Amino acid sequence: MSIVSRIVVALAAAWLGGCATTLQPTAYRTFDVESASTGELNFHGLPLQSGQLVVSDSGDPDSLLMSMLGEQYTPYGHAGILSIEDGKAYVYEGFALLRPFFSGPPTDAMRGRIRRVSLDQYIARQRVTAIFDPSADVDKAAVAAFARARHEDGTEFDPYFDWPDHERLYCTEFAALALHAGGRPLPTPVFVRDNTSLRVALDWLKVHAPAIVTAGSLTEGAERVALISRRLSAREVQAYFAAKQELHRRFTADQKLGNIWYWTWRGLQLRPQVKAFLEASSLWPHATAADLADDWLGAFEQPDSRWGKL
Amino acid sequence: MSRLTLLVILAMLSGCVTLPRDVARELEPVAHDAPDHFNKP
Repeated sequence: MSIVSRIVVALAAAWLGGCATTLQPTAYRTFDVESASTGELNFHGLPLQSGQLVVSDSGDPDSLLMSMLGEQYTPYGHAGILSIEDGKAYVYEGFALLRPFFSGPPTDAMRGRIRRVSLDQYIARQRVTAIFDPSADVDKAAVAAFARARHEDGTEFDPYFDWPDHERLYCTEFAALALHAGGRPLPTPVFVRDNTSLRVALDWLKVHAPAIVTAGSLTEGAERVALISRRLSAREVQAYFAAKQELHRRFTADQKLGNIWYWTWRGLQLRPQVKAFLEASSLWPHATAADLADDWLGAFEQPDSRWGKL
Repeated sequence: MSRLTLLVILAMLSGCVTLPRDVARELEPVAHDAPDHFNKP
């Protein structure tokens, strides 16, 4: 077998491996039903319905970037729409892959569409997943129909987060428009933070949008019906989100991206201190996140500090 | 390993992804961001 053939086989195995996920709730520390209502499908005890909103946090460094991007903090960085088809739960989501490229920013090399994955697969790649029921006045059948239609017409993924242009859609833009198809008002996009360091990176990525639709803006007025996490208990999820919020609060206009992330050949990485802070945060009550940040990240009260205590 | 990570690695190995100097500068820690500064004051 040639080297090229071996690489192709290895890639195919990795690809298919990701598709062969079978969810086992007992392997999850949190697999909580938070609603008494009955659903269209009983998914390992979760009452699911077509048209529900699925939001998540992968725990990856780039997912944290999504939480830090807007002026308002959002715990979740990704969103999709649930659809029950032939007795099985699927999520429709805007998703892109990065193709090998030789010049320009990675956003130019991202290609994707609105795709359909099983809920099992979706959950497997997330650190925290939550399912929300839109408010009662939203027609969930219309929400799911919109999602399926955008998948069928091959709507492309928008790596530039251009909200006014709905020809291509990013994940939360797609979910917002789906909910709007069911009667939910469009969310007000959240302004991108006025941070010089962030602006340098976004300019390179050609992301010039002044505002973005966040997953947090989609959950307003919706009822959380399920919370799922393999590694964290429900209390730890709350503490983890509080820690991320504390990072968001500290990432003020004068902060450099380099205080949180660094770059290696593997891509964007969290600085060890930030990673340790997020890991440690889950061990403590969420109300202590600010004090814990002082312990792990330092207070930096000197006037020229970029990590100044607020 | 996620598919995205796999593809990023392939791209990196082919020497494709290099950060522009101004972006790389923003991803460097500031001078007082040395490890000691993360200790409790």
